[in-house]
Amino acid sequence: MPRSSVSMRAGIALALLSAFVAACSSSSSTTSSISPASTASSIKTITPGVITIATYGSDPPLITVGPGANQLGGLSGDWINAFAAEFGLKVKLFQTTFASTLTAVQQGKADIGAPVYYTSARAQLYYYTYPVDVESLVVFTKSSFHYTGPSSLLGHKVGSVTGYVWTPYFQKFFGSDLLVYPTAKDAQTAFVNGQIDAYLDADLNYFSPPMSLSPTISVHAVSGGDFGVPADLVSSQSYWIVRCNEQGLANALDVARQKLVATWANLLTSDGAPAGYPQQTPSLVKPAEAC
Amino acid sequence: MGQVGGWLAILAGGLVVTIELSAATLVLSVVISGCLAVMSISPWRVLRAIASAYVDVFRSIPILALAISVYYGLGRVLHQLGLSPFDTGVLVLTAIESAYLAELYRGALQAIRQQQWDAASSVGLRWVGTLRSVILPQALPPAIPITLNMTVAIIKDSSLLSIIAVSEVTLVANQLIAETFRPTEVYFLVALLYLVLILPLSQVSKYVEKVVERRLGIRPGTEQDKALRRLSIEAEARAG
Repeated sequence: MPRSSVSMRAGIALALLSAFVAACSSSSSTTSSISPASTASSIKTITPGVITIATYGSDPPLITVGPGANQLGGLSGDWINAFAAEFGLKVKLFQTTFASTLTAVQQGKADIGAPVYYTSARAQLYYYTYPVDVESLVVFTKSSFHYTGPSSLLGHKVGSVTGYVWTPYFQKFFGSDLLVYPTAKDAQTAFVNGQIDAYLDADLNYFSPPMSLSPTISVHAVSGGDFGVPADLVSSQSYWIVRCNEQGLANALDVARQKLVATWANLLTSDGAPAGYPQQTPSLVKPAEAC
Repeated sequence: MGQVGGWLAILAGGLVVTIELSAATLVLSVVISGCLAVMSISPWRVLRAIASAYVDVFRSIPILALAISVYYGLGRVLHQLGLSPFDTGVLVLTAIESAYLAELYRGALQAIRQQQWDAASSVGLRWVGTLRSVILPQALPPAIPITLNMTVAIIKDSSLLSIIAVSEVTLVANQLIAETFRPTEVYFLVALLYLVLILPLSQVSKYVEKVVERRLGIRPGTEQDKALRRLSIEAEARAG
């Protein structure tokens, strides 16, 4: 085949790819914008009358997805359902992985994203609500594993999840020994199976399947600086997120949350929080917004 | 530009894993599918049945479903066997790709005329001898472009293995997107890397295919022959 023909084909392929990417970019910017307010009239969603929520799986009693296709339960679900009922919105779930939750909200495929931690980089793209819960980074190992600190995990297979704020720090610390899974449940399943020696995630995961308070699993606290993770990311709160131009939606969610103050602790109990579950009554204070 | 360079460096790490994964899968697939293809044309019914069952089963299962069920479903067994996500990925991909490749190889073997078998038999060659000395030398050249085409498919299919924590280029890209919030740009680079990997392979495949066709006389080689062939096709089309 003549060389010019080959390069021409390569050029056409690149041009087609560029056109595809450009089309994708433009389609993601066709979402509506609203002025910040906390009234019913300011709630403008991607699909009128429907609140689309990007979720990344269940973590009871904090959040439960299902059993119906668009059912959200747990503490987070209580909040959203109260909000949806107040504004006459139908809940629709956009079920995906953790990393894709962030992208789905960013690209206007979902109105709000399931609770994530605050980082200054995320704050430039997302507007945060009041916090949903309080979590702490811990190390899960099998009880038979002799854990004495971060260095005792070196040379062992360790699991984390794509998109977690801690994952880049773990990658630097563990290198190729870190296995990154698409979802927390996948990583936990691999950990329970023994395919990884340790799993690093929030303490709340210990209370739900597949770990479910198993006596064969040990939970080890993490201090600021361990694995290179800054102290403010070791213990953190999670928040619902919306796009920067949907602040009215976040403010309306906050109003709905304020109305639940009196019943919040009871909701957690009624959602089936097991004994020993961390107290989940974070102060209703917004993080430093940077939209 | 410096930022893009940094992203490319990160993605290149994933691309290396993609290449290693594809190479290991290709080698194993060629061996397994070669055996399956020979089994499928053998005079022994049991071997034909085994080959047929293998091909039918693994062509029916999606790669993603097999990867998830093997890695997470058989997790404890894999752990006892000391198999990493990479090893599991190679096994899963090999199981499925070799089923497809076996059918293509079978086609290459069956394209050899029956008279060749008969002629070999008439000079006293048995089935194995005929296969080794007469059939395989003729079937191998057309199998080369088939294998190269399959390599392209394997490279693309390897991206599915991010689901079982194989740190190939797609998984690395997903993590990079979660850190940079620039999905369009990162996926554009990923597409570019796949193109850089696959485009030359496709061109080599086309070139080898033409050489093989010319050598075996499957398609006319000269421009004059091609023109004559086009004319005859047009004439047939009009007549039809």
